[in-house]
Amino acid sequence: MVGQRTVYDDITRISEDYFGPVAARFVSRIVANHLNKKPEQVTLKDLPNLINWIQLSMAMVTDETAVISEYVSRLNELTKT
Amino acid sequence: MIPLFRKYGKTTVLFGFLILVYLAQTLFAPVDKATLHRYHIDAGQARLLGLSVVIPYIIIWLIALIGYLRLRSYADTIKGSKDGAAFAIIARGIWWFVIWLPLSSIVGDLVTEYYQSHASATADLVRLNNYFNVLILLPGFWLVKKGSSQLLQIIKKPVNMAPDLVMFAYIVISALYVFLVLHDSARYLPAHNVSVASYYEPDWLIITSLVIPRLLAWFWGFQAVNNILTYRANVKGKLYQRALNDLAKGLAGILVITILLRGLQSLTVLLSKWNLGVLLAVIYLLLIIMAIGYAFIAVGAKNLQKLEEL
Repeated sequence: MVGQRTVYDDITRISEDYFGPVAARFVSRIVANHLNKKPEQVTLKDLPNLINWIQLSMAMVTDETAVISEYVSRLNELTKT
Repeated sequence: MIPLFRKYGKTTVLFGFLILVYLAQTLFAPVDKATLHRYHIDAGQARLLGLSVVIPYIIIWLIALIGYLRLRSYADTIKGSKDGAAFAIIARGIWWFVIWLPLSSIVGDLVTEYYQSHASATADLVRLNNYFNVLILLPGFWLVKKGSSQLLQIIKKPVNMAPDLVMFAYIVISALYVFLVLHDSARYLPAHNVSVASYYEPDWLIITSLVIPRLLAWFWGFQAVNNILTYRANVKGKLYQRALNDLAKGLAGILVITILLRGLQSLTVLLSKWNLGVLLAVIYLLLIIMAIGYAFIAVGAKNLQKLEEL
């Protein structure tokens, strides 16, 4: 597994485009608080639930629906991989 | 807001105390008879006018305090991260800009009250007040410049001089400021309608001990704004960038107001010829610019903190 990209890495990479340096901390908090998991334990099955929480959180910091939709749709793309 | 005040109780109490001192000064200090005579008003009207400026001013202090506390709280939240140390230094710099508001007002009023009844002390007190105002802002600008330079190290960008346009603006402002200082006919001794000189110092001392330190502080301020904007342009994150943009705007606002205030200090002869209405309009305009600057810091810090609370 060394060097292999995890689901958490993919989510964080996308999230960086919206949250910058805060992204890793943001995703880790969502994973810990709402999935009760460690970042490396996140699997593709967790994605729908995680995306819901991310969407809710995102709506708390911006009312730009276009940005939220773009973010969510990019995260949803991960479920298709 | 209350949790923030509770979290930083000592700072809040200190600030609250300074507000009370300033309010007491405004309400109970003797009114300058020369001012009453010049503007044809009585003591009661002078106090009312004073309050009409002091109350919005204190509201601005509170906005400034909230901005600082939010930024400090944000820096505390992320203190283990790469950008945490840089934001902690920037927040310490902002603290100097915040504490400058009540301290410069209180010291300025105390000095004025004292020399109104002890005319022989006027020159020394004016000098003391001038040096106090220079010294209190220098660490603020140095810290924001230092913290913002650390942000650039994170993204491995060299700390360059500001772009040509910014440097040109700095040079123009500096030249204009030196011109105003040296053309202030009341800089060494009172002149025309002005009963108190601006500096009571010879030109060489004004330039070396007051003007150069101020220009240095403003240079650091220009650099800090430029550093934050460069960091913003090179870091990822739409929401993060917006918060940084507000922070840079706030810092620029503080820089503008410090420059305007110093410029006006050199226009005392001109200002003394203006009527009360125009003077009040200028004061309110300055208060608005000041409010906008500190409000942007508060909004930027709030948005940064929000990202960490999700």
